[in-house]
Amino acid sequence: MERYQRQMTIRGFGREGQRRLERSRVLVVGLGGLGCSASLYLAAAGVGSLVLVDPQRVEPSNLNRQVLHWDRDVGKPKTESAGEKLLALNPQLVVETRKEEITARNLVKLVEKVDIVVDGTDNYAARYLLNEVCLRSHKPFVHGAVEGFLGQVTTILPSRGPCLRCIFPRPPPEKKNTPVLGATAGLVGCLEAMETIKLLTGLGEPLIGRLLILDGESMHFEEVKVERRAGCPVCSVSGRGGK
Amino acid sequence: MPVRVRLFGEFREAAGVSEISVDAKNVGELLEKLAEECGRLKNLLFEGGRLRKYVSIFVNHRSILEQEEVETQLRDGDTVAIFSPVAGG
Repeated sequence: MERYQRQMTIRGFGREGQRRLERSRVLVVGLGGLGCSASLYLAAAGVGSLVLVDPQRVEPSNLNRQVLHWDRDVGKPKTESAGEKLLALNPQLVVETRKEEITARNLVKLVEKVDIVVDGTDNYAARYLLNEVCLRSHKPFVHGAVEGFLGQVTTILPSRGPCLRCIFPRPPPEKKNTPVLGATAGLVGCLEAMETIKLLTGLGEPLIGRLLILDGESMHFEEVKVERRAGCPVCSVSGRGGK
Repeated sequence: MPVRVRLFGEFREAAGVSEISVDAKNVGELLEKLAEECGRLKNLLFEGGRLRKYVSIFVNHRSILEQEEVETQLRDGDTVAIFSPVAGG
């Protein structure tokens, strides 16, 4: 417990908060800039088990922002590269890796066995699938996305607040090689880790019904309050969202 | 009837301001006024004369899709947020 002493002394955290983290299992989908940063802080905080999913191998162009993948890892599966660093950081962690694309079929099983899902993806097809499966499975989904100096974060809780489709009904046009500053992805990944830790420990006020938009260029962090849409094709038809 | 318009991301960059006050009776008129004032905003908001589908517009925290879309009425003091999703990870 010594390694967690500095967070256990946070008001309200204590041994109970730490135990809750240790008993938790988190799914991180995508091990790019967001997933690397989020999983690093979840592992350091003492989350008991991480399930890491990514079909890709490390490429040189990843290295400006995907901080778990180092120069020597180019060509390795991202799951292997990330898993190795996270275990070196915290040997108490249990890591399960899946070098595969998420699909409607495999995602249901992956989501079933975790407490929370963290968005480390880079496209809306994957994000909408995560949103939908998490709603159906009654699992919290922490969303993050970045471009350049811009980032956005929100937390989707099936029984409360809007889902991702309520906020973003349609995906933006696809871009090849979205520009991203590493520090933006690091920051948004950290915010996703923080939301996850808050939900797992019951501390603080999660970003439910609130979209945090951050602009690193002007260094503005702003919140847009967003309500659930009664006509949302995902959370209203499913009837799982509550009020 | 001035409403407070909050612009985010690319909309803010195009307009050069984060907030603007606009007199408009509904969302459509508000968007037209923004487009008239700034050609870059017009391109970001519209495609072929129609509002781009991925642009999110919330009036007082409620999506216009939940209301009357561009016909959504505006009242003095309303707050309109305009943003679009970023996708990278």
